[in-house]
Amino acid sequence: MLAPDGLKLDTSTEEDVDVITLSGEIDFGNVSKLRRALIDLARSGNDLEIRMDGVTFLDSTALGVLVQGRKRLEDASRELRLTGVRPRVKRTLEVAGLAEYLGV
Amino acid sequence: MPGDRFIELALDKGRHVLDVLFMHASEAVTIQDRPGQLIYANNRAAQMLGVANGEELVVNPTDALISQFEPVGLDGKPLSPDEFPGRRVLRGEPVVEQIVGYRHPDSGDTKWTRIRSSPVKDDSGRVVWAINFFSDITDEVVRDRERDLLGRVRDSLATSIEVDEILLALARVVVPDLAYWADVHIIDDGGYLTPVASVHPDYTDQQIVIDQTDQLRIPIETPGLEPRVARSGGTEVVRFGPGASLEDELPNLAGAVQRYGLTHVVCAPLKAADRVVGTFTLGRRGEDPRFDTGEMRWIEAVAERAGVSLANALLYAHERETAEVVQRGLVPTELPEVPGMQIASRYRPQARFSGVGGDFFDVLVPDEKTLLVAVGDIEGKGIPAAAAVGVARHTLRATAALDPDPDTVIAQMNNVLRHEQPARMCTLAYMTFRSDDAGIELGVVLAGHPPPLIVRADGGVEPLGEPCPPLGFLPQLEPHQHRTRLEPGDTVVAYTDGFAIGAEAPPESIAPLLKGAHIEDIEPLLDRLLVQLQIEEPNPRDDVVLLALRVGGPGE
Repeated sequence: MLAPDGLKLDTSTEEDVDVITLSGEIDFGNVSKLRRALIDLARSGNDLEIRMDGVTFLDSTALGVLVQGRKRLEDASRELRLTGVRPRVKRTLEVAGLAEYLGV
Repeated sequence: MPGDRFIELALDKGRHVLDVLFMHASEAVTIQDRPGQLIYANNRAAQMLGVANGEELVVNPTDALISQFEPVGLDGKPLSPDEFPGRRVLRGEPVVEQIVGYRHPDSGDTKWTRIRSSPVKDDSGRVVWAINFFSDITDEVVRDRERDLLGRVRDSLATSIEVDEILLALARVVVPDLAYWADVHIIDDGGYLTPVASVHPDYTDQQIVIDQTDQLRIPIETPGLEPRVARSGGTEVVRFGPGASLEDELPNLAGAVQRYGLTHVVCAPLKAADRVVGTFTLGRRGEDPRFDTGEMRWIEAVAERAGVSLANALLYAHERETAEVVQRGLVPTELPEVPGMQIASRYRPQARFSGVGGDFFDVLVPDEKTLLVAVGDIEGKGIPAAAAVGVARHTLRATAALDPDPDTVIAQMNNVLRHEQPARMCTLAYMTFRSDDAGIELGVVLAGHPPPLIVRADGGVEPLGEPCPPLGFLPQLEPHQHRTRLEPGDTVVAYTDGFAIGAEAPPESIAPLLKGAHIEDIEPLLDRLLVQLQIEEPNPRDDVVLLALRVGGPGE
């Protein structure tokens, strides 16, 4: 079941890779949850995988937060990749010119 | 032994048998005979009616005693003795449970009891007695009502951050259920109580009307009920009986009081974080009951909630006003006239961002052969985003005035935005329309922005441009310019990503809606798109910019 704000977020660590598992729609109304998680994980020293299997929508604020996350990791010489991206969300990333940058 | 015989026997033996049973019952108990006369009451029942003991209650004529109080139902309407559960049971109804309020006519306070009446039948099945159990549920009823009312207030207030809507919501909650008339004052910056709403049920259609005919600011230091409450922060009640001077108490409201025939008025402070931000005044007329203690508590609680919402709304209104001033500098107030080209635009802000999202657009005519159009979306919402939009738009204008080449404009905007604090990502669709001898060539460059769509004169729809990352975070961008020739009747539609419908983002969300757009005028076309968006997506996430440009005049 989704949280009332429409976004479910779980974090875990698997073999030196931090994992954020997301599902739902990510937009201005709930993106702070993701921003918070990315800030919290920024100091761990691990690479980060964001599992997007359950994500059905990203708005421009969500894209901005993902870009910030990638920048922060990049500054710490770590990698970010998005996995399990659904076709419609992938299309959003492509339209925004961000698919490659976000490791899709 | 059948119940009726037992009671008869018990009554024969004097009260004590029944007293043994009921004396220490936590509930009040009475027994009525067939004509409805009280034949037994335990002491608790007597106490409820202010009589020393049960025996005395039975000896006294009950109707006279009860008539000291005004019995009412939960809806506040008076109950006749026939409607009491005991009488109903005696008329043949099975067990009846009913809530009855006893309103004290002087204090206006109501005691609420739950009465459970059961019939006692004789051998032939005839109802001969009614046994009534009373429990005092005053606290429960008051609490429930309070919760219900506060729930309604909270729901009404939560739906709005508009001052007018909050006042109306407040009015709808209290008028006419709780008061005949209500009035709200807000303390303005200068320390004046400013009337902002005065409401009463309209005589003709029972609707709530905002009546601002009593517009009069009162200095907070003046005498009178409302300034006094604003100063003290405590709730007060005023009753206009013979000798009470209306003018002294309500110098500003004497007109309303006389017009509506108000006889008692309660005034509570509207508070936000212990600060009085205004006053909330409710009035009732002669025929209405007095405000009782429970109601006073509700009114105070309502005023407290409304105070917080109003303070937020006023702050928001102030912020929005600022935002609108800022925004007027960010979207063109009017579009330039361009020979041989029709241009239309729409901007629909998203209210929850103080009327400012990050969307912007601009239409520039640096020379008679060039038309430049930019549509973008900067990261963030509210006033900080508006300030950032200012930076983006002015950089665009300054750069394009010197060199409208897309590479230059994109590089310069990227550079400026990347060094802003905080750096904000910004999407941009940048279009150059250049007239030459053969017609018009359109160049489109995208930076993170969904592609504008072209609706050809024959109705075909295609996206324009190739994706490239947004501005503001990468040191270098390599945008690709997409070039196409425009023919008369071709229409370019640009937009921002607020044009999302459910989980469908543009261009997929908007392209199907452009079917048939080639035969519509562009102004009604944009209106139709906004209406369709509103219907398909009644809860928009974001603000929306729509631009349409068509080659050729309306008659060509």
